[in-house]
Amino acid sequence: MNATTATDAPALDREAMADRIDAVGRDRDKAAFVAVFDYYAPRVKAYLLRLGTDNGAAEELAQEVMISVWRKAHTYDRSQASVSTWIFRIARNRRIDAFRRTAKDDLDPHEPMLRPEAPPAPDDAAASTEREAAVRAAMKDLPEDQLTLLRLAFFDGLSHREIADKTGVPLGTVKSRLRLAFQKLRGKLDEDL
Amino acid sequence: MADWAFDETLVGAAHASGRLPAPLRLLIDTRAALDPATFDAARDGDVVAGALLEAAEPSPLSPDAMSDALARIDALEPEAAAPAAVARAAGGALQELLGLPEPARSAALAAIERGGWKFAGLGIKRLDLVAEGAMKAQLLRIEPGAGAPLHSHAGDDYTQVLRGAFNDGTAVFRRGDLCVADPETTHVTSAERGDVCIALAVTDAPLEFKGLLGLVQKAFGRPN
Repeated sequence: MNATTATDAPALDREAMADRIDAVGRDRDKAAFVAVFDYYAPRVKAYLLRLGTDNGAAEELAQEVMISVWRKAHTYDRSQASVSTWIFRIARNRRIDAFRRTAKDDLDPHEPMLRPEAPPAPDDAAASTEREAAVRAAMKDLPEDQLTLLRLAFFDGLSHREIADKTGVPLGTVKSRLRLAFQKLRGKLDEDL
Repeated sequence: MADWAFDETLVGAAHASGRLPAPLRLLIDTRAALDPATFDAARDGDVVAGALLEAAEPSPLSPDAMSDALARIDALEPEAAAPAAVARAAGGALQELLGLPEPARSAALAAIERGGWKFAGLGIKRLDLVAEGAMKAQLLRIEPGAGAPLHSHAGDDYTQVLRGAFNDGTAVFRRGDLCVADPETTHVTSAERGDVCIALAVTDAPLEFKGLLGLVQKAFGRPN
């Protein structure tokens, strides 16, 4: 139940957080929402700032994300995703939508992986919680340089080329290290690695 | 046996970070409903990003952000039910659309509301779903046995089969399969007899796809 990196963020009780989302979805529980807001809104804002959103827009978008959390709480399914993964998806999708709204007003109504009727792959739903726990556990053991690469690729959305330019690590090495790190987290370190 | 797959690490990173253009995002999210490997890669990528979100150094909001949010929640209208006008616009093809995997299904229903099917050849219709820059995602509907005559592609072209099957002259692609064509490819495309074929096609100018998702040839690869 520890935070997943070397930083000393306070331990997060994931079950309690999932209980709060359920309470919001079921009972429209404002106290539960306030607790979720306290923890996630500043992290969502940090995510948006990290991706280059200016302070005012990041503040506004973080608010919108939390209001989406309120509206969509009844669709949350703890057997499918942790609250952090679920809120991350909402934040990412809102950010994409906001960007597209300013780029042009093409309607794109879909919210990937948020719709309750979107079926998970057939044999896979039950394993989601365990799988997520395994990925988190493996992240704790990841060397700092691999964690940095993961952050640049999965969080910041840089291409391999951009990562190579930014870090000075050769392109081929960026590719193989990222593959190695992701495979390690997924418990798939067999084959020719 | 003719199927392609995307590189799982690239799928995980591109999906999590949201760097994919909208048509490719629609393709990956829809493929995830049909292909467990794509589902796992996309989900695991999101899990990594969710863990990084948790670990992010918090950036405080303004002091009244919380009370603002609570006031906005109080002002929310009850959620509106989905519009029923879609059924009329979709006509006889509605059942077909409702049977598609998400999120292609929602994108198709929204597109039907905006405009509807366009003629694209004898027995072929297309529905514009979403575009970003020169990249487009369309739904193709091909009557059993109908198809496009010998043609080549101005750009790159990914076709994900959602229903039925089509034959490109070299191989059969069924529900769940991904067909890849580039400007070098010249082929005929025809739906197999027996069922309507519906596919999600993403097209772009040449070379634009390269590097975004990678490509892996699956199983025995694609016969020439």
